[in-house]
Amino acid sequence: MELSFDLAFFSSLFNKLDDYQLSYAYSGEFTDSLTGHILSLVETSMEVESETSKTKKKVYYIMVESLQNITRHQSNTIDSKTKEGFFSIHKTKLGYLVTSGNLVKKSNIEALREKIEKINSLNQEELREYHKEMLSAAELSEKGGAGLGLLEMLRKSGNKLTYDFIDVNETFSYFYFQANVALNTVETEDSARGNENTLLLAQNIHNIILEHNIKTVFHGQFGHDNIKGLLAMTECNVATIQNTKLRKSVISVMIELLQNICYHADGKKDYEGEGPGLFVISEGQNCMSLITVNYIENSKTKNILDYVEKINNMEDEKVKALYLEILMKDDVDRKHGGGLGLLDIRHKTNNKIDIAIEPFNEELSYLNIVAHISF
Amino acid sequence: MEPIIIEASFDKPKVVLNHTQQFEISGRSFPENANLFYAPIISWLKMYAETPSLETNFIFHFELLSSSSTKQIMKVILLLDEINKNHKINIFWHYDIGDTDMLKMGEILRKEVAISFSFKEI
Repeated sequence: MELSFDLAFFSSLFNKLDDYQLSYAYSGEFTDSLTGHILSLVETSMEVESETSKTKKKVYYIMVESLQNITRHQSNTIDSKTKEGFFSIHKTKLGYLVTSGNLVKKSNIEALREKIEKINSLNQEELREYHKEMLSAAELSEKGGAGLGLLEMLRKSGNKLTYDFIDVNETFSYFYFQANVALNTVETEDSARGNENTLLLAQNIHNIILEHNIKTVFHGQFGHDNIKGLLAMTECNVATIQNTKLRKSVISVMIELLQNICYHADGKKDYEGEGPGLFVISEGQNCMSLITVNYIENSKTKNILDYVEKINNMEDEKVKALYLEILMKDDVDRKHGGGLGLLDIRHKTNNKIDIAIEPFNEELSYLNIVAHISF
Repeated sequence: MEPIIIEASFDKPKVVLNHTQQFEISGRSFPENANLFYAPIISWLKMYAETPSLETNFIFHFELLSSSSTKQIMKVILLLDEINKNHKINIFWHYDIGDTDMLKMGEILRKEVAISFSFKEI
């Protein structure tokens, strides 16, 4: 199976995202059930991050508004996939960055820009007044609604809204929009100063996603609850695949890869919490690739490389025989499958597993594993 | 013996271990810790092995099965194989329509045991 990307790329993506406590990005079609799953995944992640209920409520509200913006403009489509909706959320030391991206008609740009600039320019007192005005306007006309959403996002986030328009063609531009929810512990002014290029960060991630045919990126703690959230979301994404075997392969392989991180990932010394990892879904024309990256102690790298090489070169019958052998082994010391997971992936995909180790420091390396499911 | 009845959930299967019914484990099985989840099931079957029914029907129907769960299911099947030496065990290995991977998994699991497996696509 030929890869359209080199494996080292994912280590660098992991490294880029490791500055953030949590990152989730999705590019593609947004259905109602998918947005529901995105919301619950982030809710779970915020639980894991032990956020205050005030922060959780704010972030949740802003996510709902952002996702609605995307679905509302989804009908604006051009053939190319670059025109699909984009959503991302990153947790920095200062707060949560919620970004949406969608096409807008060029004729609407000026009105939108004015609306945002106007809201951004108001002080607290003026905001309250404007809010009242908008509320009564909203009662009178449907139009008031959109501006009200923006205003609420600004009020809830406590920070100015950032945005950008990227030229697409004669009719459309791509509209990036970001709200920044400061964590309670951080002064608003500081966070505004510290996050000057946060929109650029999200745009960079979006560009990487488009370049590599990526659908989903998740970087964070791989505890069981986050795994369940990711699975629910992916199940929703693959629900349209008619072939049962294929659909189940994607989910089963994903379970093995994610539980692998959950059980085995090593962490940096000062790291608290469950295995930090990166999970990426990339969709090619004839193949779906599931990618994970996590830290592994340098002393373990040779074993895993040898093992994957061994099973990659096995015929299907040998794979089955080894599977049975490991199943029969009564190894009480081993907490989990004892090598079964990778074998399972090899068996179900019937493709070679791609593996790469990239150096990180004296103790740890990045472990990249890619499973390919052919259509 | 108190029966074990567990309702199916997102990551755990439905379990019915009750003298008066067919035994059954079905649904999705990828719990956080498969050892922990299957430990009471295995203990229960060890007790059952002391005074089993003349004939026991056991249905397995997995929608999803993680490898760490498969390891536990193998343990269950090896226990059943012991019982089968004196008291007949019938395993019904059901799988979703088109899920040939789950069929193959059943075929791997039956290789080491003498129990009769009936395969059925449902």
